[in-house]
Amino acid sequence: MKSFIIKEGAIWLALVVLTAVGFYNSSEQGRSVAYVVLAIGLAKFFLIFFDFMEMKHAHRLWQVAMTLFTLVLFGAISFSL
Amino acid sequence: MIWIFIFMELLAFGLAFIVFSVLRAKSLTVFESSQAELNQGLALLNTLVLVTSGYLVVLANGDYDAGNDRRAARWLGGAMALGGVFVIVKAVEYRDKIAHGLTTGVNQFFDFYWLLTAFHLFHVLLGILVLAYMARKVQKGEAFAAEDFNLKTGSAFWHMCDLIWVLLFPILYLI
Repeated sequence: MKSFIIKEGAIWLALVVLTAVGFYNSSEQGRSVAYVVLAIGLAKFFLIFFDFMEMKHAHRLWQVAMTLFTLVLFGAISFSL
Repeated sequence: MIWIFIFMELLAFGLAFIVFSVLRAKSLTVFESSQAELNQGLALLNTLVLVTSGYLVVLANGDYDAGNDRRAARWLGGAMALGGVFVIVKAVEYRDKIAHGLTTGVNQFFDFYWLLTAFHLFHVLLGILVLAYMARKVQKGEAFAAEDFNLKTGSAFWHMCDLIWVLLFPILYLI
């Protein structure tokens, strides 16, 4: 259990650091900054999705469907920037 | 079953995010000036609160799997408390927006702000109830009646609230 807490704690810390980095970067203006902030959001999404949510244990079909959907979603949002 | 539900929820929010982004591109000045009226600090706090509550739910699952039911229930209680903090912070944010007349009908940005955040808040409130049910069951050592409604699926619902917020935070508040 101790190693589990440490491993998941590392994921939590990564999420906190990514949140802080995204927030800090957003104070700057510009399209490239928006892409960076979105990319950080995508990284956080996948960390929660595959680790916290245990999507890694879900059926392969769901893993592929959800991953494709997320990439299309972020692609569409990035395209509209 | 839970994955179908989560996929449908993400699809609904995802479509709304795409429409929001397209409208933003068309009226960039209005959207940027409206976004400046939001409190990014409170949204950052809520992001950290939700991410931390998600971590506590993960720990609850770990302890539940290891047979430590009482400790699992305590982690779930912590996650619920953080869910409560999220609701309070959101209420403070809403009160400020209403006081400044920034409600629906002001412009498209605030229509989407209220629609998306209120719909997400509804999910968080529902998630707190789900966590409460799970915590009660786990603390009493009772078996879950339905295979589709157990600690794993309840946790997945809570993480879905986290996932939606992780999308909503940069799109609505940051970029």
